[in-house]
Amino acid sequence: MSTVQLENVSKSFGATIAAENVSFEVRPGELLTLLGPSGCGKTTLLRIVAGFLRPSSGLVRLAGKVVNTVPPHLRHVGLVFQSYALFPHMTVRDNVAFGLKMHGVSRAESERRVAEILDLVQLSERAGHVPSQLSGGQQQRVALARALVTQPTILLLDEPFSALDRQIGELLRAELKRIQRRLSISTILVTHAQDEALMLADRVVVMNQGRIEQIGAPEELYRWPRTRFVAEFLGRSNLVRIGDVASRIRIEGPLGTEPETATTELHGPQSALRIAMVRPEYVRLHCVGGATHDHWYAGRVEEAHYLGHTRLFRIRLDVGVSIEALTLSADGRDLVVDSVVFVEIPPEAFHVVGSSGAGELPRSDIAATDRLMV
Amino acid sequence: MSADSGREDVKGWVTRGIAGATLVFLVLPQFILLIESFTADNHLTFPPSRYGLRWYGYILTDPDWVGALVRSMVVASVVTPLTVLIGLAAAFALDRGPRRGRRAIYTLLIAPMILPHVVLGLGQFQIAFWTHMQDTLAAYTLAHLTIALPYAIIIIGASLQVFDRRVEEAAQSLGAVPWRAVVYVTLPALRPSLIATAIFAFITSFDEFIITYLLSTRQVTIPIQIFNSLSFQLEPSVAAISGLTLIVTAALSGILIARGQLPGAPQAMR
Repeated sequence: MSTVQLENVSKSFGATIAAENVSFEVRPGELLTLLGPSGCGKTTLLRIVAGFLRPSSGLVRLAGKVVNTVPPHLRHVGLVFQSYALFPHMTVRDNVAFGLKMHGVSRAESERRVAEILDLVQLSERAGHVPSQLSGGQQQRVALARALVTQPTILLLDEPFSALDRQIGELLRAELKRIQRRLSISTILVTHAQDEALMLADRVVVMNQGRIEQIGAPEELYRWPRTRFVAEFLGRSNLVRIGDVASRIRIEGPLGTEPETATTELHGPQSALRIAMVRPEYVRLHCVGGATHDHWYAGRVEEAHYLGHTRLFRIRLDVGVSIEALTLSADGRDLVVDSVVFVEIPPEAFHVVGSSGAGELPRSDIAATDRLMV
Repeated sequence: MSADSGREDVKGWVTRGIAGATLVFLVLPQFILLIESFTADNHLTFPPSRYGLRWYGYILTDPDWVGALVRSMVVASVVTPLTVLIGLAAAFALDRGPRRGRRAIYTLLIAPMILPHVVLGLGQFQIAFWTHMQDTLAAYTLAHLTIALPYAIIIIGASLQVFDRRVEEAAQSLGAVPWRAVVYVTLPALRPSLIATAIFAFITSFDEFIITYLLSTRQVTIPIQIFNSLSFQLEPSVAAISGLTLIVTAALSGILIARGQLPGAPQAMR
């Protein structure tokens, strides 16, 4: 039985549609991420699950029961906000004990559980402090402890790392993952940061304009995005028009003139023209060679960026397409702007957008090819 | 010495000059009054020729002064909690109630702050006259409420606006019924503004002159007693009552500042 289940949930505010026909479930112990740009409806969905908003239509189930009209205080969910939302006038200990007090847990039992959870988030020594005496990261750990101590049906996290410095945020991410796995508590994490989603989630729900674009495991979404939006929102991607001539996949030209709706219509097996995605790290660069090879394209370096552990190139192909290529930074030192370069894109690097993923194109392990051969 | 530090020097002196002028104009008159209140002379003169607690003794035993003092204290003590309660309710309604008409209601509630008190007072005098409420504590209380409420709505409303509703939502998600979330979480967060409102309300009531003057004939409050007493002669009792007010106010704010409960005091900063 799933802990949370949304069935055709829609929510509109006046004429604005915040969520449209959304269905997904959170399996027991799973960390599900709602990922999307701001305004895509992910926070609205979280507030619907928490009970602060009622869906305009559709059903919300918590632990199997329909809870559409159940007020927040009876839903037994744990909430963590971006702004921490700690009780400023209470000590860390009292903040964490608040939920237990509301549920009528005895004092001795409460003290034991508060001590236990503070130990888990490594804040036992700060129990007597008030929130304003703590750092942002510590405050968010208190918020997490406060939400977890009542053993809620589901843990709801609304952009919990966005207010923190990047380094602190990354530390806390790892800690959250550790705690979530250890307690195996079902969790919904709302975020706009794709790296956060990829790192933490068991499954990701990618949202756009109130609708679900795709649901899947992080790797599934990254390698086999079903829509153009997912391909572009998750990581860097090259989208090109390809032609399939006698089982030789060739880039035909740039994208951009086709209407947005064409993406799903173009992927039929009979179609000679499709839209495909190539991840920049799957593009191989060669300094010498010729465009006579299969899957090779001649081009010229338009931009070269040094990014620390990688280098990012933008290469203008003679077929009229600009392609991004990513290499390890140990390679590609000789490639500067205006260098002539030969680009190799193996057929298995293409993923036809709109296809259901596995099977449409060969699934060989392309990751091994992301070394530059200069 | 560089030109830069020279400019800093000038800046420093300007700042000191402004601070000094502020002190002189704000504090000096009160300081003089305080010294005068300890006179043992028959008339207000500065500096006094003899010192003593003679006039303090006088205002604390003379029936007119004691009557006015008690009356003022009673009215202010009733006005203060009423202002806080009604102001809190109004501020909540304006913050969270329906949007329609919100602006109009807010303007109406704030209006007494902008309207001349004489105009307000004339209206209230007319009503008190018709309803035979002149000289009653009820009339004074209602009058003081009208002018204290705008402060309450502005002060409490401002802190409700910056209050993070998510804190209240967190409490609800932890099992608190909405009203309990307000009592346990929202009200404590509003505490500094509630205390400020109470102080403002008390001072507004204690200090109110014009409307109370129009509503009273014999049952006067302290400001009117001071005014009456000044109209006849420059008696040091006026200085003594001023001194008393000053000492009580200073002690009160001193305690609040020390406990970090006065808004604007460094300890109260969030």
